[in-house]
Amino acid sequence: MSRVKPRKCLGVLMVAGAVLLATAAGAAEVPQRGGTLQVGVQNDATTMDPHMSTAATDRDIYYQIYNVLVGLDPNLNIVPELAERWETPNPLAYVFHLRRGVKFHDGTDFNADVVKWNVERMLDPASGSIRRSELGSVKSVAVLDSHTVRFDLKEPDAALLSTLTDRAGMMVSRAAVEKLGRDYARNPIGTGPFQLAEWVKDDRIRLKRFPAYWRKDGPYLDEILFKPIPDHTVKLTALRTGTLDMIDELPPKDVAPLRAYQKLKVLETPGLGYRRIELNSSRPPFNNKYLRQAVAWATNREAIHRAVFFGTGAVAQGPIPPRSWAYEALPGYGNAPDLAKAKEKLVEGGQPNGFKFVLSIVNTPVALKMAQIVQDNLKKVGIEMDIALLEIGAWVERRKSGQFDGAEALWSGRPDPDGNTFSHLTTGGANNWGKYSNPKLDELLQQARSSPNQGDRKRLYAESVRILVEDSPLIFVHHDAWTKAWDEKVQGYVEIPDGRMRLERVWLSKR
Amino acid sequence: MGAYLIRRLGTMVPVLVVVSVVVFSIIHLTPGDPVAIMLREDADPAAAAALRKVLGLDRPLPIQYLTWVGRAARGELGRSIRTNQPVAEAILERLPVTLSLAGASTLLALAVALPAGILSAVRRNSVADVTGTLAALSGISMPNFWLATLLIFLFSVRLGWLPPLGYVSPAKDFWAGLRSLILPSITLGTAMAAVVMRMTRSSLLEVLQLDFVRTARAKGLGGAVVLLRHALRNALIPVVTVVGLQAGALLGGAIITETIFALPGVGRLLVDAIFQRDFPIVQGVVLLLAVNFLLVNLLVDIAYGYLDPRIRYG
Repeated sequence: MSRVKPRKCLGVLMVAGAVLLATAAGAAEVPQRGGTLQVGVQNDATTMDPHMSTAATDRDIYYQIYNVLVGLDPNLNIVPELAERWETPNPLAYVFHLRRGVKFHDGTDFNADVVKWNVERMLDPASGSIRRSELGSVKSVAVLDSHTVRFDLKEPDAALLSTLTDRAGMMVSRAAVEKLGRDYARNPIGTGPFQLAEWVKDDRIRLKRFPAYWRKDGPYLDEILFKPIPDHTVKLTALRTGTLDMIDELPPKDVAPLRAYQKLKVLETPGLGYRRIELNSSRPPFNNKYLRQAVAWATNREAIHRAVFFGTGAVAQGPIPPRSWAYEALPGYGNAPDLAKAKEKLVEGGQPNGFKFVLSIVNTPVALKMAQIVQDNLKKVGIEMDIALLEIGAWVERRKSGQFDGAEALWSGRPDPDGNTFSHLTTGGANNWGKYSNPKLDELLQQARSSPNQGDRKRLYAESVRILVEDSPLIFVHHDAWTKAWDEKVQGYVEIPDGRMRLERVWLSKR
Repeated sequence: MGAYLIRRLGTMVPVLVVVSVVVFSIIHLTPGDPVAIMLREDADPAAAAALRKVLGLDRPLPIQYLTWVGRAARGELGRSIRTNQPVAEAILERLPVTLSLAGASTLLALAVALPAGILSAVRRNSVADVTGTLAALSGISMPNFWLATLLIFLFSVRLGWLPPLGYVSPAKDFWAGLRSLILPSITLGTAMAAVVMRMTRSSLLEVLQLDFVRTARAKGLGGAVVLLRHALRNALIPVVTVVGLQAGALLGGAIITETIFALPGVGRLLVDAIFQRDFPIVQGVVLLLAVNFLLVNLLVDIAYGYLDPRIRYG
């Protein structure tokens, strides 16, 4: 055994000190350029054309390729992006001042003409764009000068800006669309931080850094590789073994176990959407308000929250999610069932001994588990619910034709409360599958969509939610969580409450 | 042989016509409108009607069928409703993945099953026979999604030897390609290996009891020569039939395997297309599967001739 000499000891101390300093510096590391981020996603993109896109998850790809006219910040505020600023001279006009010096990936300029053409493309029925209904309030777009446009509206639309943070606000290259026609769906040209390098369907989407990106400190990553992986277990395994750096969502049951892995970061926040049971108000038994209420009072949302969602997300009391500025909690409503009240409602509805109905659901583990809990809840008050397990196509068809008693559905959510309410609950609304109609509610939601004042709107939505609780056209069950996980080397990810990935500011730590 | 081939290929035409009618009818009669599925959350009747028109789905079904068949006869399978990609291109892009998976699975299955079957038959009721039979039974009984999960858990998570997902083309990087195919081909090949092993064993046992084997032995031929040249060759006919049937079915089994291991093959293309009601893709892939089945059957018939010279086609 040898004694440690004092001088050697000093050396060791100095080295240790240097290591400590280096670690401290590492904690506040500056973003580094370079590297490839490998992201596992549940679904491949349906198309690369945002104006034709039909899946909310397509946006995980699009936000890297395209810019939107206006963006969202972590608190759901509208922030400048392609539009540097905007004003509303009157409730029927929005004037946008566009950013200068922005180029598309094909080298063409972004300007007022392009914006006008993009909006007209979406509004043209011949294009078949499904953005048309989202921009339903827009009458026309006028070019005021090379970098200023005015949107003229048919009716006041307080949700317009929020609509423009989504695919309707994504600007595509006019030159590319005119050249490629429908093949544009595979060859996207945007102004975003990354451009498409390769798309092998169901295998990979490779994006590379766009060197002429307008934000000069531009994206940090050289490449992003998206891998569509339908199997959750395989996706999680790939993240744990380092084959992937980041994944877009994980099943609720895996959230807690994954937190145990020290080198992984897990994100779980309540989303903007809601899971609901649609009751068909246009035919028996649910054309009877009291029977709808009986189902609402007998449903144990807290049990669903814990057993199906393992405590992730939040119990729903209405269509407005807890993170929205329009949210107002209804104390004492929704979590626990009130069987006495449910029975009371059955008596009022003229069915004291209960009744029978069929719930149509898509055959997924989450929907089935949820339906089984509801089935059990309802049995306690004598309501007999049968579950019809359907393939997605059959379910869509049944819902569209109105041939259902009840249907379980998930709405992915919109940043503005209008997107979660208007088309779902107003008379004749496109997403009002149960054909619910209440003139009072129609009026409130119409007012809320036209009012420019957020305080007024909040009050109107709160009043609407109270009507919805009373009428129960939908049983609001749950706000599912957005979940993501990534390796600790992934830095700079900022979560936006719409749950979609923006990877422009993400960088890889080389440690 | 040439005339036979032409005749056989000729009989495929009516079969394919029937297949095309059946496929077209089934997918169009199944509830689920592609436009409604595409729009789902954003359903607006006007937008739906416009999209339907753009996609040509507003025309009467018989017209849609005739248009499709007319084009298919000229080798033009239409375009994907979703991405506008030509169907033939979408299939060709993925065919190498599925073929290399099916090929590797078949090779793997035969490499294991034939020796195991022969050994079991020759050493009947020995420890090797019982072990082989047990393994075969487990192989047949184990669903491949379960086997895939076990394999991933062991070789990717625990041992870290093999990648849990993804496809690398063996043409681009042979070793990486091979590594990416190992777990999927074990998954897909196991059931086939089990069936082939059982078939080889029973068929060989039967042949070994026939007179000509005894005669060969009586002539003083060695055990290996009798077994391999005389007995096995005769025993292989039912085995070839089974291999043929299984190889046809492999493409179907590939659907699950490809989904689990995230391989961009034809199977996954089909499943996604079914869920999205991408009619042209579904029709194209099913036609391809039918052609594949017919061709494999033809190959099997030709193989009979080589195995047993008494079978001749004229």
